[in-house]
Amino acid sequence: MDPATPAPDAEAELQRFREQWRAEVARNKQPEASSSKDASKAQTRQETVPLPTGPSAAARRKDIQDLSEEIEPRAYHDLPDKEELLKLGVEGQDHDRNPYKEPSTALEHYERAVERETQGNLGDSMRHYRRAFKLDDGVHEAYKKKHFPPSSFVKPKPVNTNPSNAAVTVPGTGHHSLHGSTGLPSSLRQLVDEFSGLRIEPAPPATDASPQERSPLAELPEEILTQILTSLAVTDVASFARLALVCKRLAYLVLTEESVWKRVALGQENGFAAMLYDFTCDVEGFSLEANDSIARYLAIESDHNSEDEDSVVLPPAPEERKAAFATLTEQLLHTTYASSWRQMFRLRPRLRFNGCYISTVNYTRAGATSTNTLTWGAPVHVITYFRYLRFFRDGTCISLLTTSEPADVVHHLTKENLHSNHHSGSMLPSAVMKDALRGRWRLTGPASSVLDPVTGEPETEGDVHIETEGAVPKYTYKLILTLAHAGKGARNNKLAWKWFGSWNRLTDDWGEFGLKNDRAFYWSRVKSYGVGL
Amino acid sequence: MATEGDQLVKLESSDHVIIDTDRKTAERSMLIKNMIEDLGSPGEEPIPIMNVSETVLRKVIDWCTHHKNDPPPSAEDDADSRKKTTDIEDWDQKFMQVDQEMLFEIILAANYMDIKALLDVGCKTVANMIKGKSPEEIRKTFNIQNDFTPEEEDQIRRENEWAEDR
Repeated sequence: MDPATPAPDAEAELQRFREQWRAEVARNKQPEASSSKDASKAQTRQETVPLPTGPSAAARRKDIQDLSEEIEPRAYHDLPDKEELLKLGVEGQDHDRNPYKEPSTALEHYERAVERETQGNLGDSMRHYRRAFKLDDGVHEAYKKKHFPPSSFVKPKPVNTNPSNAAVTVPGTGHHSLHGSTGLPSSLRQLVDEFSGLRIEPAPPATDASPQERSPLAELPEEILTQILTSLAVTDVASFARLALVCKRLAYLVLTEESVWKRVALGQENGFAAMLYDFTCDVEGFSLEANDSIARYLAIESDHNSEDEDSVVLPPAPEERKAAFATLTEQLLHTTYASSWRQMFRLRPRLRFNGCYISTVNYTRAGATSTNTLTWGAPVHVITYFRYLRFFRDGTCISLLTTSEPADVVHHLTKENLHSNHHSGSMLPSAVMKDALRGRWRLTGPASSVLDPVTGEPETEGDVHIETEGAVPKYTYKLILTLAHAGKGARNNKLAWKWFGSWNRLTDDWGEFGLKNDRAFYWSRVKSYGVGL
Repeated sequence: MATEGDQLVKLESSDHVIIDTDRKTAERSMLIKNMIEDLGSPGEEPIPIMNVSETVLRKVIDWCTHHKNDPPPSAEDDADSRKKTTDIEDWDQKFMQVDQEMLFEIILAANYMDIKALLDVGCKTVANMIKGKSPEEIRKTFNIQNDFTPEEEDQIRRENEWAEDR
């Protein structure tokens, strides 16, 4: 055997390997070398990946500059109504109050633990984690494989094809990130333009012998199809958007039919016609319109105490405002939203009425060690509580701070349950509402009659001001939140804190609450609210 | 003496069947209303409704009979209809419980005969059939071919992710 021949081979291979390795190291180094913002972004990304500690850890970061995040929010969409489930004769009868069954395998325990943790129930979560690892110490690998298969990491990084990705990588500019003459990124626009001439094609027959069935939608004239799409979009934007995935023709219509998007954006249902930029009622929910005439009368009589900004300045007539708002909307459409109603509906700050906003707060607090126990270590208290906010179209809102979990609360978050029949010992399910506070809300924006207190200029859009009753009658709470987003595609599904304080009505003092333990609100759809009309 | 609304109107379907109805019912259709106004009176000759077959025409007349006393759409209808966009009257809902072919025939007939309210109900019914369904279910329901390549489908999906109401 001649040692001389294989040697150069091995040498060359080694050399190749070295080069590869160097290139890889260089590649890996690159992201760290770029700006610190990117680095922190990358870190957040990492945190979201395998370990369930990710979301909460990331949410804990308070970055004022960038209140939006890429992480999917922990939302509680479409929670079942527990009382409905208990009713007899309801379909899919599930009389078990707890629809979950106890997990048995390690993976199931692990999944449950992750779920509990995102709900903020750390105690339970811990128990399940422990159990899972006891059963199988490699369970996190199994979990990773199931929920984050390697393929899911390759996908989100297609080069420059994804418009929403592009928007997201520039943090904090969510509302302005789409420039260009159209609402669609160019590659997609090209694709969609190709679809324009196509028709809805009926599916091919199942076998050669079976007759060709017709597709009724394909035979409708376009104006009728548009009308159908409009009725659909008005009631359910999600279903309308989903239509784009049916076939090319419908994709073309959904992505380019501006008349539908205009109707949605301007509509009363989900659109901006329902947004209020001035308070319409007082904190208790009484209409200001009715109070206006009294205020006008009183203003003449006496010197009005002028803390309440908008009760003194009488708002202009509704018609005038409507016209002014329409002008503003039109202007914003062209300056900010690339002349696309679709983009406007997506990006312009707006509140949602078909669900509620939930903020889950949990933190740990060291407890005192009891001197006469035999256990090691100090106890740690895990504290979890929730803040709920539900907005109504009439300018009122409900704010609730409670330790009850979303499933027990969201369906009772109604005006009927406010301060009614809540004896302290009430066992009714709606008793969770006993600490609910009435309030009012408005969005900020140039459409508001209030000027920005700092600059004295018209306000910019994007914040929501909320005033609620205090826990004691002499206080009024004021919350300033900003509309942000969580998750890659969604917008306006997060409310981040800006300021929280109270006004003592007796002494006319403002006090600020610290935001130490406050977490952002995330929107969750609640079916029982309907469209909220 | 019979009032103008009770005058007899004869309608002729595309398959040459003559159906009698009264003027008030028939005038829910702007097409017929304009025709009668042009003629001055319904006259003895049947009015041809060229694009609508007998079964569909009878169905449409059923609807018109039930709705013949509805107030005419007013000027501020726009604001008003916004409020009730979401729901369909019970009677109309039952009326629309027909097979898909019939449903689309009715929509086309309403469009041709220019009966706005009926067209509206029809469109909402179809919209409700689409609501809450997955793309695949929609394809099945309306017999539509998926003409996307997987890449195209993926691209469209990403562009529309935000609208999923989450």
